[in-house]
Amino acid sequence: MPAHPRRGRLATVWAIGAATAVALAACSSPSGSGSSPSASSSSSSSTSAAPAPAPSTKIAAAAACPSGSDPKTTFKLGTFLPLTGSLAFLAPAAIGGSGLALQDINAAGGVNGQKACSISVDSSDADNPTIGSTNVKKLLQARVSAILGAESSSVTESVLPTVSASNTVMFSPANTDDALSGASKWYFRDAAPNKAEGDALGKQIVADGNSKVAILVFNDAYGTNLRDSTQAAIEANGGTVVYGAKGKNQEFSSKETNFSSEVQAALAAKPDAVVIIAFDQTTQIVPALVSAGFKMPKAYFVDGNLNDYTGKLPANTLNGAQGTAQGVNPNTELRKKIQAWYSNAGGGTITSFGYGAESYDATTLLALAAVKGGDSSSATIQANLLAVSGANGGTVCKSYKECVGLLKQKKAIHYEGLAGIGPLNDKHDPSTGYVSVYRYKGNNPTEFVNAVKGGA
Amino acid sequence: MPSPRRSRRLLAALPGAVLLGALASALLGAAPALAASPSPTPVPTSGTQSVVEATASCAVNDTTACVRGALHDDNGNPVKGVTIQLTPPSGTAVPTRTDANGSYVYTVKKAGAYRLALVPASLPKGIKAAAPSRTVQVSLGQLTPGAFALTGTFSGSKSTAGPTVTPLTMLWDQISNGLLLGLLLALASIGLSLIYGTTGLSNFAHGEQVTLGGILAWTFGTVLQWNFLVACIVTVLVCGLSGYVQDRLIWGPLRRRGLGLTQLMVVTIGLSLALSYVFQYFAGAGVHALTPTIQLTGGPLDLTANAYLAMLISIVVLVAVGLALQRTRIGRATRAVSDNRALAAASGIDVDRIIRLVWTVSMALAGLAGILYGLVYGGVNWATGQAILLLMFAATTLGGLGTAFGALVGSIVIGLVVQVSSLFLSGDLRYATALLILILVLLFRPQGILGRRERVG
Amino acid sequence: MDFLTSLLTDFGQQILSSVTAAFAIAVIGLNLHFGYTGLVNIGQAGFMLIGGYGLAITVELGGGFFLGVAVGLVAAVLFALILGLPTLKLRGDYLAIVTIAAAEIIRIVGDNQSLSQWTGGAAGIPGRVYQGAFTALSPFPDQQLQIGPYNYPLTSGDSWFLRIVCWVVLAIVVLLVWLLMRSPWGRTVKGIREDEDAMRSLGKNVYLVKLQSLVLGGVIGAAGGMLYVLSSSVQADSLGRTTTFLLYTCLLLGGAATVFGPVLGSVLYFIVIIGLNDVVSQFVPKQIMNEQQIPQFGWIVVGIGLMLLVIFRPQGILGNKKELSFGD
Repeated sequence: MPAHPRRGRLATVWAIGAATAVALAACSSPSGSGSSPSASSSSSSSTSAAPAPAPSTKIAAAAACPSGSDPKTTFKLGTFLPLTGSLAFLAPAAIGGSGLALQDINAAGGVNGQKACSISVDSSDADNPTIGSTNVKKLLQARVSAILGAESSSVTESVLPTVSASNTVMFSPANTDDALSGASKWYFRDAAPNKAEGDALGKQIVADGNSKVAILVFNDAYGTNLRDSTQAAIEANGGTVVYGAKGKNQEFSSKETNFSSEVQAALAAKPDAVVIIAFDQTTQIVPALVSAGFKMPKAYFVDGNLNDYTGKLPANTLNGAQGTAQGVNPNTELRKKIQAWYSNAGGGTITSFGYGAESYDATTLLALAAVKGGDSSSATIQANLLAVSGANGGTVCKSYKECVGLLKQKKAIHYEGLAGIGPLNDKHDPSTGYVSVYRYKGNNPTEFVNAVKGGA
Repeated sequence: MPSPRRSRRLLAALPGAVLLGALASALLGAAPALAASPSPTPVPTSGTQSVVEATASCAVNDTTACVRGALHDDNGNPVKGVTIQLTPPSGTAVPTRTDANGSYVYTVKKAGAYRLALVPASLPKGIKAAAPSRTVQVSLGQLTPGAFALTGTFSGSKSTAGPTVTPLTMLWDQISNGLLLGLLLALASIGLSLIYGTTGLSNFAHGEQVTLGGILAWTFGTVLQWNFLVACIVTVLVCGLSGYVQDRLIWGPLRRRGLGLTQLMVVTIGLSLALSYVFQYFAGAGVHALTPTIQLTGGPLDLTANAYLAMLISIVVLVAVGLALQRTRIGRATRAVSDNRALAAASGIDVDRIIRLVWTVSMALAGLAGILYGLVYGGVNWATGQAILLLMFAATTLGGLGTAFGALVGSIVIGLVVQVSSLFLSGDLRYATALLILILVLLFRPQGILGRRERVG
Repeated sequence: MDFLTSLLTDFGQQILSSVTAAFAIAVIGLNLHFGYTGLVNIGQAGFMLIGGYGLAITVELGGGFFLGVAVGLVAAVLFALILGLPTLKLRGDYLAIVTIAAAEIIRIVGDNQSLSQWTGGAAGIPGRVYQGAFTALSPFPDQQLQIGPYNYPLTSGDSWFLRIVCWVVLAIVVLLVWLLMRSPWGRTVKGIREDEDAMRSLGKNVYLVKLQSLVLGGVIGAAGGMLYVLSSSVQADSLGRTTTFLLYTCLLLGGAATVFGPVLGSVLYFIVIIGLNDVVSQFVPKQIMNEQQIPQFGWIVVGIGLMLLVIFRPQGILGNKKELSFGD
């Protein structure tokens, strides 16, 4: 894997983080532990001995919030992630990313001297709206400092009126729908809007010498949005979209299980390259493409499906295919960290790492905003989020610990996240993000090709 | 590979020389060119440092931009040896030639509007460029694609295009796919129909039984790494057993208690809900590929070997079920039960035993359908069966609720309708056509194609 | 103790919620069909979706709130007529399949990109497009109000205003059903459920009464759908099959063919779901059930609960076993 300038520094940060990491007990005070004996997954002994640092080999699950803690003094993160439903496969990475961030935050002394903690609820998907709307109210009732979520832009759309009317910050690590730009003063996100990624992807496709492009896109806000921006980039650079173009109504349903007709229709247009904009359906689309004789090096993936397909597809099926993802090569190190955290929290193997780095960054940014403002209330966080993201400039810092150190010296900071998102702009979107291009080696997108500056 | 490296060095030297020349001429007499340059950056003086360089590869970073492109003729073959020129906003053109892949690469160190041109004289005979020259905007940290639309073919260019696609071939493809889907649906829905016939119950949990087959085959075959054939056989047996157990524990006792059909139907809804989340609980929400093998399509129907195999298995099993219903004693007893339960019971048939057998066989068939569905369509997830449940209802209703042969005919019609309508309708709307047909059939011929009149009303 | 207070607070929160009230209204519509008349409508979510689209699209095109409500209700009437006119003469399960198929068609068409300039496609119509028309009617100032532990905005979003409107509408609908069921029409409807042929021989136009019931229940469902989307957004996928199944669970939990059953069922349903999640996440270690498995477990319990309910207490909590012989 060709080295990238940022990776070395990243690895150093991680190494330092790992060396200083101490286990977290549940953030409940020892006296409160009686009412929540199972809040921590590490071991019962470490829970009862909260103040003493446990052996550094053990890490605990996200510290659960004791009820009744004051949001002004305790940083309470409400995670609103799709634990069930059609996007549930995306949740582990985000749970792991935010959990890992909370662990690092608490290892660096917590937020304003108090341990940060989290409350997790299920956002589910657009098919099960009552779950999301019920659960988000639970978070609001618990007066969380901020909500991390939702992953689905549709779910965000449906709960945002409630959340913003309650004056609570909602920070999505995964919403990419362009329509959510500036949707509310309480709404932030650090996933690059589809525009940046689509632009980078479209240019990459044309630069690789493809002029006729077919887009297999699923009918969902994420899919059609990314399609629109990819198509715009392809057409602006001299290519044409021969299948799946905007307004042609060739999107497939997000619940589709049979892709034979879509693939045949796409290949009938004789494309030079095929872009697959989908989530988990990709496991079924690829065999259909290969069966129909399509050469996979001419296939392009997006952040939603740029996963390791080892074991899911025959060896080397995807060899040479390329794909884009937001951020600067957050690959191996972070993935290992997130996986380790997640396994420790009782989870299994994470199959999709999408939005893991963004969740880490979002959690860290929220905590930094609370540190800068001096308390963990939502209003304070809302007022300081843009500043800590570097919107007004400031000293670049790369970890929570480093940034807090700068804040203590009353310096303006610019938290440069793991996902490489750049400062948030006045619409609360990441201003300049990086988009990385990867190439598949075997069935794993491990070969780093390029990182281009998005926000074009 | 020594040759590309050598050519790279050569190419790298070339623009350097050009630039040196430009610099010399600027110093000697063309001073205004220097003064006009808006940027205060000093013009590089060494051959290794320049604004534009033709390179073998290019990696974008904060101080570097790339201009890349590749040339192909109408057959999609790379066009090599074409001279490309990239001219900086101020300075002279940097030439390069397309390589064996038809591609060219420039590494650029300064943002601005560049002129990208193709020298038409260097194109092979028979190829024309529509617009050989244009301005491209280069920004650092970004990739600028430089595409040229070429028309024509060079001599010796082999046609790489596949078979020509006409509306007729597309129709044929969809008919093939429709037959495949229809046979799979038939396998899945014959049990739905038999259960309806013998007990009058519309089983909303039937989709989950299909999913169960796929998920179990994945568990045994992929997760536990059993021999796939063994995994399939065990899966079908387990699915059959699940039918037996269900009837023993739930449906049988409920029948004896005389629970109404509507209530039973709501029970199946509850079961469907519970089962689909049991799948999510244990297997996760992702798509599970049954076997990591992919075959190429071919044969008269342009389908994969798996698909042919699945169709064959479906046909064999369906014929076997059909024959069993027609010829064997148990089959005749089953039909007697669906015709008139009371009469069948009076004539000495053990109705409960027949119904239990129907449940067992139906669930085994649904499980088999789930395996085949997963094999043919690349995987299963927790909602696979749910997604085709209404198609199964449509198929059985169309064929005539409660008739086995009717389920087959109905399934094939629905399969064909769904796939062929995808030629005219976008994605999910094709399922709406199947449902529309379902409604229309119920309105105008509620007994279905093969059903009997007395079943109605 | 902490846990118990937070659990009770969660319960209260859910009972007040506009979603609970909206669901209860849709369940009352379903109760008219299923509980009182014996019509197996598995497409109630389709009626809700039609109501939601009717309201949102009308407001989006500049029609105003009350016109939107009218359009939604009229659309539901038409939908009920289209479904009912041809199928109500057939056997009961045909209506079941037709309603589920029709609701699914509405969902698929709403999802489809070809109509996205009106429906927004799969992304749906965001709440901010049409909710303004509703909040503009609020007599309250735009600020937060805390009552007890509950702190909501007065006017915008999921507000006190919306809660008040929802519960008032719910009360009106309950009253309406109560009056209807005491009327001769109500007795006819129940008679049809018990014995269609007997009612026919008494000279009642069974077909017409069934159709009236289908239309009325559908319109009530559409009203529930409108109130539902007032705190969220209109997305076709969010009002699909699963929602109909939930409505059935609520109905059977509270008691079909009772006036207050749907209300009690909806409230209890949400309480059970919340309580289950709270208790499990509090007391079951993560090694046994991780974060993601808890809500999945909740759904399994709902499914099994629905089965057990129908098997062992088909009359629900409030129902009268003698009265209830729905089905066949």
